[in-house]
Amino acid sequence: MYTDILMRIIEKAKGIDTECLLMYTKRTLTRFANSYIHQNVSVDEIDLSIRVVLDNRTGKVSVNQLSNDVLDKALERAIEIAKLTPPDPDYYGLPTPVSFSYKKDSSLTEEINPEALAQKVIEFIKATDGLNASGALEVNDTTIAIVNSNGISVEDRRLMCSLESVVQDEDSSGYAYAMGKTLDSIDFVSLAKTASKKARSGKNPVEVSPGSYTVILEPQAVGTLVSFLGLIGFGAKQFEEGRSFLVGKLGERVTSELINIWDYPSHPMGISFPFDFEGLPRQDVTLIERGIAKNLVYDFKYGKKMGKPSTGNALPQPNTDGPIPFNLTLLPGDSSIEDMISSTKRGILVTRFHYTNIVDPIKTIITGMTRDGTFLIEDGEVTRPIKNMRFTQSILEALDSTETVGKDLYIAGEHFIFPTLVPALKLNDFHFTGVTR
Amino acid sequence: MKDIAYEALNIALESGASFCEVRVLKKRYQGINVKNEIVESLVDQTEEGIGIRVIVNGAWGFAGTSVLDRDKIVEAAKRAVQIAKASSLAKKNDVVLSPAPKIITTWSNKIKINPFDVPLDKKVSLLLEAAKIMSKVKDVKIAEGSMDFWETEKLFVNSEGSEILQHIIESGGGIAAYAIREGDVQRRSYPNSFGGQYETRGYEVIEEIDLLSNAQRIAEEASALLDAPQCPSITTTLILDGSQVALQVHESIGHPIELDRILGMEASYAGTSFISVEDIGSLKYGSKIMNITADATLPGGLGSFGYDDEGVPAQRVEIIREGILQNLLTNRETAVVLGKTSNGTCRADGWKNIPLIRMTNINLEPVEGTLEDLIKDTEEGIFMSTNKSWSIDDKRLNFQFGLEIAWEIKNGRLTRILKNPNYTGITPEFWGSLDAVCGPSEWKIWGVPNCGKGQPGQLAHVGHGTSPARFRNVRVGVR
Repeated sequence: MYTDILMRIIEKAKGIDTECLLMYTKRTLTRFANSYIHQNVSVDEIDLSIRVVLDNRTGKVSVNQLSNDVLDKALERAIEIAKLTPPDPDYYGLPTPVSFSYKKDSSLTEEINPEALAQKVIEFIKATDGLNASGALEVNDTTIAIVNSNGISVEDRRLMCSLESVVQDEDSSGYAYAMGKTLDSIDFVSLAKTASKKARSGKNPVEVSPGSYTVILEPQAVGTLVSFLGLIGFGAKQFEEGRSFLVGKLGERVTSELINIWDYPSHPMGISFPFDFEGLPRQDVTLIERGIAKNLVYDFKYGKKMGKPSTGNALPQPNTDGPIPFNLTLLPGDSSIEDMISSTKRGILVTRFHYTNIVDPIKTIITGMTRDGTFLIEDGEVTRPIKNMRFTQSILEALDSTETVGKDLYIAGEHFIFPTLVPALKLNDFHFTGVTR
Repeated sequence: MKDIAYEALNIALESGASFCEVRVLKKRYQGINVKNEIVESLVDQTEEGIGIRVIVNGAWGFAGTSVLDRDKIVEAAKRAVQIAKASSLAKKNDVVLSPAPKIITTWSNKIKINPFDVPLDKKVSLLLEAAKIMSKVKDVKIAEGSMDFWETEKLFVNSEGSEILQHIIESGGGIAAYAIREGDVQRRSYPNSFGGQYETRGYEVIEEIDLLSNAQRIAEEASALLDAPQCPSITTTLILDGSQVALQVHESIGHPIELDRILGMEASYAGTSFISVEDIGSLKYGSKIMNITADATLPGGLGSFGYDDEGVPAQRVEIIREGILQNLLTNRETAVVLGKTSNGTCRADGWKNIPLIRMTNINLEPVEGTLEDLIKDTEEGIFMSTNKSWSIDDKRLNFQFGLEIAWEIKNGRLTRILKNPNYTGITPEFWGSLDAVCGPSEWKIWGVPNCGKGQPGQLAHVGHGTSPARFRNVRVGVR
């Protein structure tokens, strides 16, 4: 148990508020492009941080070695740093233990060997039937342990497998993504066929004019909207600083009433640690209910500051971001993508977005490009592939124009942000501002 | 370090590798963030580890570990070989490396003041003082400051006999003021956004940027933005400050000239490129005054070093001459496609990642005049400063950038401030509209410490030498 290593530090720092966080990651990633494996890596990595607080002054040191000598010196340095920093008037102490139980991840099996991963990639490449396949198959085995001087002591381990892939035809491409708790939970052949079909359907794209369109966003595209909404507004710190789009809007309608967004760590499809980076239990939080903004997420500090309990949303402390939602979920509705298409007179079907960035966080305006399969819908049918388009759009305004919500949930990956659980959406007003070649 | 590196190298070769390179790293990082009157985070981080890259059966394998005991290193070397064997199950052709010289040397960058020797409380006090100045300005609710320092000791050895020890110190910092009123949030940063300015130099970088003398100005600009009109939606003449030209170069030139992207090796993640190998020597990238270099030898540039992570010496390479594409960024593996040797751009993020083609310092060479001259020479247009957001498509053609602040230009003078400015364009058309670039007195190497690429994601430190530049007929104020 890594908590034993951390406890020795806590005992050595007796009398000082001390928190130790250890993350041990075994990551293997097999990457392929042009239908062959071109990069293939495996890394074992430890990161251990010691946070001490002396008279409201914080010092933190991180190391990646576990010898007693290294850890003792790290503790000494953390204390030295704390003595040199000014006191934090908003320090509320370290969290105290909260009673909760959690189930160990039963998906953890014996170590996955590189040959098994290569065989899965070969399976995928073969199923693309001669198209140009690229992607990354990743297996992450992560252990997190947290101990503090108030008695918190938690440790757990999670396995996460994912495949991200782009399959290219001459002038088009298709995309597929899946994440699961085991390698066997990913259907490589099915993913290859999905991405290949998109690529083949996307050949010879035509240009359509920018403007406002009805859009049907497949789950990966919806994941981008929900991820960015999570980044810019649901955290208590952003709200307290006046930088959240929810300032003055809690309790008010912010989207269509068809929209329900939770931070949902207990959802069976999700992959979540049972505690946050302070060792407090993760909790389900209703963020938007029937279009009405309901709640924020809190860590220990911002909970205390704003008179709320922690919802288990702390990043490693101290940090500049404050609490953020880790398991955003847009609850499903009752529609299928086929229904959405057949009910559309003229619109655009979007597979996913690319390189999205925030334009105006208060107005929730983001911009980005479509990618890997964008199609025109006319008279209830997908008629033609179109060239990728740039959107510049308020997320809340887009969600306010929701006509229908998909009935099936998918895991959507967004680079640099936590994956989301989302269905497809049909939105009646989505603003495209440009087109690429 | 040396014993560990050669132990790993020998085990890999004994286990069947036909080629092996090993990097052993020790790295220290210190990061300080203050907000208003408090230190929001202060991180002191040390890490070490080993990365072993091999070729077996003509395919790549890589393994790394942060545990530097003999058993773990032997295990990692054998694992790298096992992984390469697995890669060879799905290969098309054997990996062939272009020749590289055998080099045994040491290299370190020149600094005046080691940032780790500067007392922590001095750094914290400086940032808090700057924050205090900014906080006093009307409507400034958040005043931030940060500094980041890295010290890296890196030993590279390979099975071709190279042994290179490099020691690199990097420093950076900056401040930002947020004015907030009635649902409007406006930010101004100095000397650049997203952390400030970064260089491969010592604490003198912090002293030279003089945060205290600029705190009041940027806070007042943030405050003024609250009352400023929106940037109009028009097509007009656009002048960009040097820091934004740097990001424009980064996104629309630096990434598309990476040969691994062009060859499809990044297709599943960051995308490909609108450039093809056949475009070298003929593609009209921009106007006649556009000259782009990739120069890893520039002292102080954040993309400067002695040798890349394949042991290839840092180089200055002409990329675009008078608007025509001349060369691409290459590594040992991809240079073979061009029938050339590597131009030394292959770098890894720490010990735990494989090296990839990364920008070095990708520069728009200066032409003439000052920013003042350029504005005087512009009858009507908009001057934009300091990046706020960026986005570009997967082939690096259609881009849109948001900036912190703009000024309207009328009859050769800056007039009113405009808020929420942005502009959009298509890469070759945009660079084709370049009609003026300021001269050497305005030219500066801007550091970008967060260039993302690869899977698992890697961050590279790169630089861009740029000066303010003017573009005609640009669409601004996209809404």
